[in-house]
Amino acid sequence: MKPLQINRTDTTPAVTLDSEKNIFEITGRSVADNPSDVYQQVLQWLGQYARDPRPVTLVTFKLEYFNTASSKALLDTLSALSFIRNAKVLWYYQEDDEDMREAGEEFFELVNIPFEFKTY
Amino acid sequence: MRIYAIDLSRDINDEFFSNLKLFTGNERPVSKRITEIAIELFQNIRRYSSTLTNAKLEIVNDQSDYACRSVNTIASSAVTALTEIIRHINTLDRNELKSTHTKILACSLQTKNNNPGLGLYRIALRSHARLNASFTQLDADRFELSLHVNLAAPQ
Repeated sequence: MKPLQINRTDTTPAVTLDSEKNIFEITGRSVADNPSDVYQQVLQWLGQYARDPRPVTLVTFKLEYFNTASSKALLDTLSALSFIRNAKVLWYYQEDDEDMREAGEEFFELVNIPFEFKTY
Repeated sequence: MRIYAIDLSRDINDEFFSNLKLFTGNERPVSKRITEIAIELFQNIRRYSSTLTNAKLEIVNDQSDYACRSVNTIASSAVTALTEIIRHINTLDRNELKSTHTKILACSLQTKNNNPGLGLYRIALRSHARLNASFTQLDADRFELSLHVNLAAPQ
């Protein structure tokens, strides 16, 4: 399957979804007023990947900032991941960033997918 | 009192983040909360203001206390809903605020709708304080919304 690689911008995250190399990452800032350009591509890719996923899929979310518009897009993304067999979210937050940890816990409450919380 | 006025004419970019960091210093959790609140206020102003003329977004530092202040013009038709959302937010304790935010977010997944107001709940969560809003009627169609968000120390 062709990988999805989106470069980060000032307001949108870097995305790497590469089944062959076993890299699944969304990192950086997600504060665009309309982030759907990025997340539509992610949702589309995940929809295809879900048909023939790897035995285990670990997806890294390492976000510095995200805004309200992105919280909906992230929830959609996490929801799409819940349809992938044996997928797990690695939710990274900086040690002193209580808000980012809480945000991860909130998403965990809302989607049916295991989370592992990690500091960096 | 130090005041930093954010340029509303340009979209958020690297400079937005670096200028806020310069103003707020290296105390990271505080700096990050101010930045997150400023992003929400900035985008609310750009999205909902009928005009950017006279719109303002400032970060205020009074010794160790920070606050974000925004002023913008909104349509008269938005006043009742906004007043009700802000009144509701200010009745909630932190746990209630968190669970309400979660419910509204969950609702956006089920309905695919944007939920106006979610950003205000998020601002209140980040600020750990009540929101202070005032509405001044400009004419039959427009009000000026002034929103003052203090940053309280997390409990």
